[in-house]
Amino acid sequence: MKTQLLFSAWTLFCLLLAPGNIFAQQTTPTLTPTQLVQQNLVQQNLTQQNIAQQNLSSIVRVQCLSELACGVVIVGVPKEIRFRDAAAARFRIVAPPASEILLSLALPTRLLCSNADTPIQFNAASAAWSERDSPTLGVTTFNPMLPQRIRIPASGMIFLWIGCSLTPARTLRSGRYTALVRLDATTLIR
Amino acid sequence: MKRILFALALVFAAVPFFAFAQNSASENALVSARVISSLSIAKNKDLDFGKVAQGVGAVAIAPDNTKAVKFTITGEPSETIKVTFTSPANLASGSNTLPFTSNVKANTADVVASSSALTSGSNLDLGSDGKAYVYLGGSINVGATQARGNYTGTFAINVEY
Repeated sequence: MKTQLLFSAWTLFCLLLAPGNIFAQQTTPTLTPTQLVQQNLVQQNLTQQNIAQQNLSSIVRVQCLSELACGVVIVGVPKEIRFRDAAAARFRIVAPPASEILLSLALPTRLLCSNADTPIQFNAASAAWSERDSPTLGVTTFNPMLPQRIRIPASGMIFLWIGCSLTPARTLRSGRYTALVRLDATTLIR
Repeated sequence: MKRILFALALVFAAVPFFAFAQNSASENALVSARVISSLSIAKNKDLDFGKVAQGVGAVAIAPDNTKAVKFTITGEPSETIKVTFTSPANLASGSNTLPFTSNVKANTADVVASSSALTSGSNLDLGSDGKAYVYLGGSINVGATQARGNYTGTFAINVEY
């Protein structure tokens, strides 16, 4: 009986904690570009030395490079931030070249300020990605409300921009309104 | 039973190397907007020189004169705005014209005595109450041969953040 329990516990361990299994997801903290390079170098060494049996080649990193800063918004006056604008949110996704990643965005519907709120909208042309760090060079626009499958280019990274539209009511209270956009990136490798 | 569990353990231990591998990461971006009040501007009256006899010459209404126009601007407290205006060079009565020169001053507080001259395109700060004031005076020159009539013109003022 004791042995059976031991095997059961081992089985459960394999299911839930084994590295790289189908349930395990590794969320990584925000890193500076230098840290990213350093970490990638360390990861390469690990792979070369064959120390870890984990599937390091599937590691993906997401970094927010710019917030979505809508700036001054006048009550009653709609405002649009296009993905090409400097005020758009900007992300960098680093993943192994040729790997396929799934991008999904959790988008807010309202910006909040104490007890007040104002709607925020995204449309089919609010987001774009490019392998170059420029929202005007070789960009692919996409609907941020829908998940995107993207093949990572040889550079091992892509950049992503997101804009939005605001329609503040005439009666809206003055103040600083905020919300969060969350970008999830998942590598898919068979 | 023991063998079955052992076999299961082996199978699941192998899962990481053969299954559909995935790795994910997330990051947030802050969305922010500074919502401010809209701007409005209102005048208290029109600039009226009244009856002026031919040959009187220069007639002026200073910005601190009770006949002067006061524009009250309301917006976001302590915000800076840009004021632009166009002043007519002449007042007109049909085909007759009368030279006009505007005299514009502005202040954050409603105190014309401490107001400063304002040129079109200048910036103006709104006060902590969200208000600023523009005072409009002007002068006309009525010569002896000036045709009689009711002379009018439009002074247009625009404010923006």
